[in-house]
Amino acid sequence: MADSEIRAPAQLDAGGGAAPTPADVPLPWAEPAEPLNREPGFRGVDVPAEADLYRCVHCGLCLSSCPTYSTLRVETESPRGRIALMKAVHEGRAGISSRIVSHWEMCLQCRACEAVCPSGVPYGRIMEYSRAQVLAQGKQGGNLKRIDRLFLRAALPHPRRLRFGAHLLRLYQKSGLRRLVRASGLLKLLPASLAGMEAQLPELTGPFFGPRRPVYPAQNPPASPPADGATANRPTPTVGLLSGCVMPLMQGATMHAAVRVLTRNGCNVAVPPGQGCCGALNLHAGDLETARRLARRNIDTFLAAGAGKDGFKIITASAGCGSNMKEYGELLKNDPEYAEPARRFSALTVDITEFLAALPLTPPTGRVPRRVTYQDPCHLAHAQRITQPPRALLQSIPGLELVEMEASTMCCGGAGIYAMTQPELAGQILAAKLENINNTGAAQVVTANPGCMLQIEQGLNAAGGRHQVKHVVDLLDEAYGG
Amino acid sequence: MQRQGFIDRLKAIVGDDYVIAHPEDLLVYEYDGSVDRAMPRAVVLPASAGEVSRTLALAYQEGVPVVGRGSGTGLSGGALAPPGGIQIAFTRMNRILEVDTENRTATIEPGVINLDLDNHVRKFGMRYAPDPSSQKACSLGGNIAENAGGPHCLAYGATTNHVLALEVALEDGTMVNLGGPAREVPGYDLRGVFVGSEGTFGIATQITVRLLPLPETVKTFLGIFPDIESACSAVSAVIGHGIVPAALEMIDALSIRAVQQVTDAGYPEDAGAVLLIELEGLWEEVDEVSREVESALWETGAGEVRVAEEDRERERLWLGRKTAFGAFGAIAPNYYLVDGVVPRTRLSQVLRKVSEVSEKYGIIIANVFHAGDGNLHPCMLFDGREPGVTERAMAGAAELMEYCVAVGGTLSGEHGIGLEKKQFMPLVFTDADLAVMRRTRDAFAPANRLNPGKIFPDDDGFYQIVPQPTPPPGDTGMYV
Amino acid sequence: MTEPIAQQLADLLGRDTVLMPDGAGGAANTPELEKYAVDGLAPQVVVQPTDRESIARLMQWAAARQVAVLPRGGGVLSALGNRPAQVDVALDLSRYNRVLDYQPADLTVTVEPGVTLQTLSRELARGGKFVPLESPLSHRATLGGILAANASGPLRHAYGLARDWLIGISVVGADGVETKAGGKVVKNVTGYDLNKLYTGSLGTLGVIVEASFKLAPLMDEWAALAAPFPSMDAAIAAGRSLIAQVYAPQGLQVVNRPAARRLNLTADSAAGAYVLALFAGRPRAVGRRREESARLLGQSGATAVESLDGAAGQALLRQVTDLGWSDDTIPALGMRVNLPPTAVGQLVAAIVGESAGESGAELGLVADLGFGVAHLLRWPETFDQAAAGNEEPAGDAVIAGSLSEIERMQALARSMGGTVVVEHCAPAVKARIDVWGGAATEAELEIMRRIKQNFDPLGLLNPGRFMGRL
Repeated sequence: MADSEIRAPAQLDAGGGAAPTPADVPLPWAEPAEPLNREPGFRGVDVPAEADLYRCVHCGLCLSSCPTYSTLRVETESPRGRIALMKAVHEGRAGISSRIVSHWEMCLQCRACEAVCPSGVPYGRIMEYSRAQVLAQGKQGGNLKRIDRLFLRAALPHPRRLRFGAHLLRLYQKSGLRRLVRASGLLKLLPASLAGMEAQLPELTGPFFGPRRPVYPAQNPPASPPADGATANRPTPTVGLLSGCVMPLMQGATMHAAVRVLTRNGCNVAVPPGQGCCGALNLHAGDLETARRLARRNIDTFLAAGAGKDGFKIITASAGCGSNMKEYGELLKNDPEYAEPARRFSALTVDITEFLAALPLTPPTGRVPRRVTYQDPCHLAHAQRITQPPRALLQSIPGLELVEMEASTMCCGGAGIYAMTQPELAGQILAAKLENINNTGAAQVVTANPGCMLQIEQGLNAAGGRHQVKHVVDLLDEAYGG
Repeated sequence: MQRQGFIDRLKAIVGDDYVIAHPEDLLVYEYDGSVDRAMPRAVVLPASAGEVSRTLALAYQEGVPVVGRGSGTGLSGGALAPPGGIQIAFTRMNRILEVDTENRTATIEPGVINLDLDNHVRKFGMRYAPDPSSQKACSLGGNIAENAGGPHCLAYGATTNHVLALEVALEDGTMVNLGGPAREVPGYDLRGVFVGSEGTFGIATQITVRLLPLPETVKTFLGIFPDIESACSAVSAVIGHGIVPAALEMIDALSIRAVQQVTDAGYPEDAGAVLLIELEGLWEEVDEVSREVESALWETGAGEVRVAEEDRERERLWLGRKTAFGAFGAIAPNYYLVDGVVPRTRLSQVLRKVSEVSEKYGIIIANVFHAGDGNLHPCMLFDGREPGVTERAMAGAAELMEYCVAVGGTLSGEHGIGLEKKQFMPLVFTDADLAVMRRTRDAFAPANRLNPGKIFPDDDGFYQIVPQPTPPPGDTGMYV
Repeated sequence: MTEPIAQQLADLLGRDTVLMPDGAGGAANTPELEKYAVDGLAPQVVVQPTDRESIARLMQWAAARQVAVLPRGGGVLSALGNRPAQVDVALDLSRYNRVLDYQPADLTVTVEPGVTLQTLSRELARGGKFVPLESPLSHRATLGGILAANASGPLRHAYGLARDWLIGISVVGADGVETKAGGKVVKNVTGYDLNKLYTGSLGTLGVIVEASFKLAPLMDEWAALAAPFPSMDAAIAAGRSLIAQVYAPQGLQVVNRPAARRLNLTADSAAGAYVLALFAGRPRAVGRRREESARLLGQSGATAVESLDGAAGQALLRQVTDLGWSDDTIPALGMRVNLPPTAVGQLVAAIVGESAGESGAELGLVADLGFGVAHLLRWPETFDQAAAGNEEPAGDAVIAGSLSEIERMQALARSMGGTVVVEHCAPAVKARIDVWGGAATEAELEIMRRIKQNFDPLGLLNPGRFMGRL
């Protein structure tokens, strides 16, 4: 094992004599003295931590949970493989080449591997830092680069631009302009990925939602009184609701439902102005700076609105946002001013299903006689490890039949902007999901994350019909009578 | 350009997308679950036995050695590429071809994952008994190569006891069927000697295994002990009562803490050791035996005995056991697994030796193992970045293996010899013993082109192992 | 010519070890040597070693002189195999018969090859353990012989074969060098699993000088059921349904009327077949298995269900195991057909159907429905009748009849994924067939040939007797 005995590196493509025998074949597997490529490696502070990387003992128990590995069956598209590539870069055996980047970008960042990892490798975190390195070195793949510029940076962080864009889009969809554009063949002039994005644009039919100064007042007192029976003196708790970026525009109805369900369960609901996008998509794309800026904005807004006082929790109906907000502490750990508030903010964040299931829930009385199946959002099941609360809420609805689909915790392929950056693979992953959904015979799919709702709905509708994927709170709201 | 031609010819067999030959991509095929690594020259991902056969024929003609690779979860370096060799990865050949419920057999491709097969046949009231801890990830092809074991091998035997028929590609691409659908096959037991040959005889392309009916009753006990000594005497007491449970596993204090840190398996963190005991069979058998097991546990000093009869509870207890090796990653970045087997009555003696070795070499050693079989798994936990520590760990492992052999045991119970333990083979076998084994291999693979350099200590001395990791100096030390 | 060999061996190994032809002239075979004859070929000398050094020296000596050596244990299964190509020295291992290392608490035992199954079982029982191996004539059958011939019995369904219990082996090779594989631990992947290779190799790869087995706890209780059925079809249908139950017996055999007569089964004189269910285990479990099995057999059309306790159950088990090998049951033609379990019923149906009615009853059938093996036994008197009054025991008609019956069975078995081994036949028949015929493909045979070539290049160990005349 002494280094001195290791032979010279071999070039894989170097010519060799005819019919080499094992003894005279050079040793491509030996530790190369030179790295495999000339690209730079990890630099700066936003790098995967060595302690995180070497928690991975390459046991392989993550493989079967990974949607890309399950679909493509190659180690390069597996969590273990991606970590091995990070290790190789970290060890200086390879630099961040576009080939290595392509494997990292193929990752959905669904974190299914993280949930099953026996060593507790914080996969989401090391992938985010790796993406940050990719971005810093300008190595993002074409699709991602375009979407990052056009959407993640130029639109998402700016609520007014988003709202304006949404109005335009609604106009585009409703006015018949779209039919015109589609018929005209103009789309063919766009790069395939953008044309695909056009096709994926959701129908903006519902009401919009947004932050506002007045608090939505509680409709009921809390369902069951505390043990001491001091109902009268018990203050009505106020909670803060994250409005977010796209969800209030695309799924405004769900946001309104969330407010109604919360107020019906005895909460005043604040949606403080000044808040905005949580920054999750920026973080996943490796744009830590934007993510941090957005995090600071939300921290300021919610703490100023009273988060932390008198049981004031920060609630989100978006699993992806919740997962990110619960990790603001990590994101801002090196920020002297925000490190502590970020940790506090993270500790106060709860998913709406988690929050409701922990309450003595006001029992829904309206019947929803429907067979539904529940899709576990990755960032709820894997990142936040919340799987039972949404099911418990659904099962509390009279008449509703919950049937489990096979592999309900497997990603649907939506994964934030993944369906746009990797349309082909996302399509394959979605197809597997749709098959599992169809096998249940359920009339409706329920989930708890806006991205999953869009992706699955689009998948179901592409196969024909007009399906509406619902959020858990939509069904609760329906059972409460809307 | 000859070399380029070889890759192109591989592509012509399986398709462009299914040959991986770029060195950056090959970085992810240079490891398995063990501490070594070796980069293949190319990885071929065939979709059929025919493609396997043609790949082998081409490699044979070119003098390129070949190794099969399932999921790369092995712990002895068995699937690492031989020098200058290629890997045939079976991840695409993962279909369950047939389940014969009447004869209780299943025919599968080698890339099928062990647990996927088990889950599938459970729908028909049957099971595939061998259940390695990596069953969620490991492939049946790999199980055949290593003769994989698992907790339930105590009652049901290892992989070899469950294999009926194999379709095998030999080193030159010739296809041969070994065994058959009948349990007994006259002639030399080629299928029997093939299982556990670590990929050196041939590469299985189709496998027929025997299935067992699901038991009527299953009951799992968690015996909680103040120390490992008393847990060992409980093992002896159980076996001594004439009870061979379906599984009898031991988890020591360090492993309990490692597991609980990541996965809540319900093991008490202040216990000195726990025993996981599973009984299966007719209700009457389980009922009768469980009383004897319980009293054996109490008599030998159990502080508490928990019983799980519901599937979810049992699954939780087993999850901890099955994720234990991975959980060691939370303690230290490297582990070296000693897989020695000793007569069951020597367990406590050998475990004392394990603590001695731990102290002598300054290496943390965790123990989580198949106590009922006497199959120890002392796990040497270390940080390879600390200078000299790898050598100390290896020296400690060597001393432990020597000790296992000295008390009447052997080197490996289920993980295989591969690269990792081949230098220890002379502890068990003479040159003459090894020569007979070589003669057997030469009957299957006269040119020794399949996985050369494994198993035999003096084979292919040019084989060079690269231990990993070797990162640049950073903050070293354990993470706990 | 014979004198020098015997004399040389006596000089080499000592007079006590060598059974010599009597009379200094030693011209022909003596009755003593005749006992060691294989297919009528008597050895020139018999060696009876009591230590393994003698075995090693014998093999070195034999290799140097190209003398054929035929290892044997109790001689119980010596009818198995092709006619030997050469018979020089019979290596009788029955005196090399100690139990070397019995560790009840470890559930292991190590023995010399000559110990009989009966002796070992008694010894093991004293420590509360047993080795679930079976062989005809267990009082004579040695462990070495059981391994070499891969002998088994009705409990193979529950306990498997010798290959499943052998954990370590030492062998003196054709070059006289002793080597080992496996060990004394119950789980072992250190090196190739040559235990499997030697098991069932009929002594053609080496002389077994030591074997280690894993053990099971001694069974507390034994029991059996014998249920007569009107027809073979009905018995097989009932047996198949029973073996699929959770309370299935440890062994299940279906025997036809001629076989039942040899087993002295008398519960129903009109019965066309019997289902025999064998139980072993803890009392309560055996009780339930037996009770529920009896009920199912009753519901499936058994005309009676006879229950045999303890010793009676074990006696029946022994009788079934011995059938075809005990002196009074040796058939003129005996075949063992290995099949997937469900094919056993098909095979039997095909045989009964083809030989229709009367003549079908002339053939003894013993079918193991759980494991998948059927024994076909044609006993001399019935065979003679079938040969239509031919006076010669092995006349042309008998030979032709045997050959065609063997061929038919091989074709039938092959079509069902099975194999046939001819265990008993007339010497004249044996001379014309490979008794293992057709059981392996050419590709498998090629590997077997290379194994034999690599292990015994001079072809001195049991030459010609194994598959492909290896």
